[in-house]
Amino acid sequence: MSQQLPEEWFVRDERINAAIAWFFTAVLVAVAVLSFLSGLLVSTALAAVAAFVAVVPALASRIWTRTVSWPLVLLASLPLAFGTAQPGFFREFVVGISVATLAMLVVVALQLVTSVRMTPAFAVFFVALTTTATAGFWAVGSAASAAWFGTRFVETNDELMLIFTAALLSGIVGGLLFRWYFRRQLEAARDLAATDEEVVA
Amino acid sequence: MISEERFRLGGTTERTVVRILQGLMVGILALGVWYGNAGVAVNAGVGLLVTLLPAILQRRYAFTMDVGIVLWITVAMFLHALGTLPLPGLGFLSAYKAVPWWDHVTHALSSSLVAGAAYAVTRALDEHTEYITMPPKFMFAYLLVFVMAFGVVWELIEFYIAVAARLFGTAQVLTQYGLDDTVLDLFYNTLGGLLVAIFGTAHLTGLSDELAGRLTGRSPDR
Repeated sequence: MSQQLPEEWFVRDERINAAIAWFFTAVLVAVAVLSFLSGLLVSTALAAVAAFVAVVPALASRIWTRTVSWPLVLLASLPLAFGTAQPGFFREFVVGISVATLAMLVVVALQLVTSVRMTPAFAVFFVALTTTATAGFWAVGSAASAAWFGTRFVETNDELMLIFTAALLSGIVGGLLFRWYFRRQLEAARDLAATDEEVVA
Repeated sequence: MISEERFRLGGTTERTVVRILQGLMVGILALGVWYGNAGVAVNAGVGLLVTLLPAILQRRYAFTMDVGIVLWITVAMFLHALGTLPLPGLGFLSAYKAVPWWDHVTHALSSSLVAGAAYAVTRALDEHTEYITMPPKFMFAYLLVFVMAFGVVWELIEFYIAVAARLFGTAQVLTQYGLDDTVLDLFYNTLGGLLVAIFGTAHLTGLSDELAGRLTGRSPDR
């Protein structure tokens, strides 16, 4: 995996994919605005980042059909649909997988608009790291918000540890899924090169 | 060449302080064993091993660390070990229990070590691998993310060791004091990481250059 993480693994240039992705983006922007007006900061940040990363390829290349593959956008913004349902291990795990997806899309977006560059292997590590850390930042932020504004936060240390465990596991599982996908992509590229009878040094 | 480097790095005072702190940690370890206090013994023992790492790296791989960094590691480990020891001046409570800010200081110090190590390794990767580029702003965010993830994993280790201790009825080695304490730990971890991200990175380029040199030396194709 010693090469730069290719954007093509996440970005499509198809009209139907682009139409769906732009529709999601519009919905996400609306959700971000409504969440902000309701004072839901976590939802605001999540929706705004998801909307941004979905269309960065289009903005960077100035081709409107170049967007992130729409199922990835959907997966990354899944926690927004959960609302304020009772937290549990499974829910937290799914949220973690979404955060991992979002983190990978952020890496792709950063590669497109900044000088940040990563190898696929480092991106996998970074995504697992970010997913775990997000739970920690959420805990510190939520605890502060609960202390100053009286918002809700978990009541016992055991509950928080359950959330952390789910975040760590989803970071690792999400990372492994991406690793599996990357290896498949690399093998597919190698097979294609072999059938073209090109010399690959 | 190595002896030259040693001479150049100098720092006799720092070296002496490191030796004294290591000696005190041997004492703490001995007290832990003497009184059959597993928490004290294990924390002092593991801490002592960590402070010996620079010397082991020097001897086995001729990997020289700046004496300031060695001192930094040793102080962090010493304060942690000392904090677990019940002291007569504190009514035979440990500093972790009796001094409210002790936990915060050790967490900030230890997490600054984690951030420092993460910076040195990642910058070495950046220098060594042509496909990895991390501009300073990204590195800043990355260090905070790294320290936070490490803190979460650390809290989980503390938690599951306690769960295992309850299940098997063995002694507590690490202690979680509750929800507020966990959140405060994470906050002070972030503070330690932040300090390194702002002020520390300049002092770590030497360490990371040496690492990058090793990476290059290991792969002759570059």
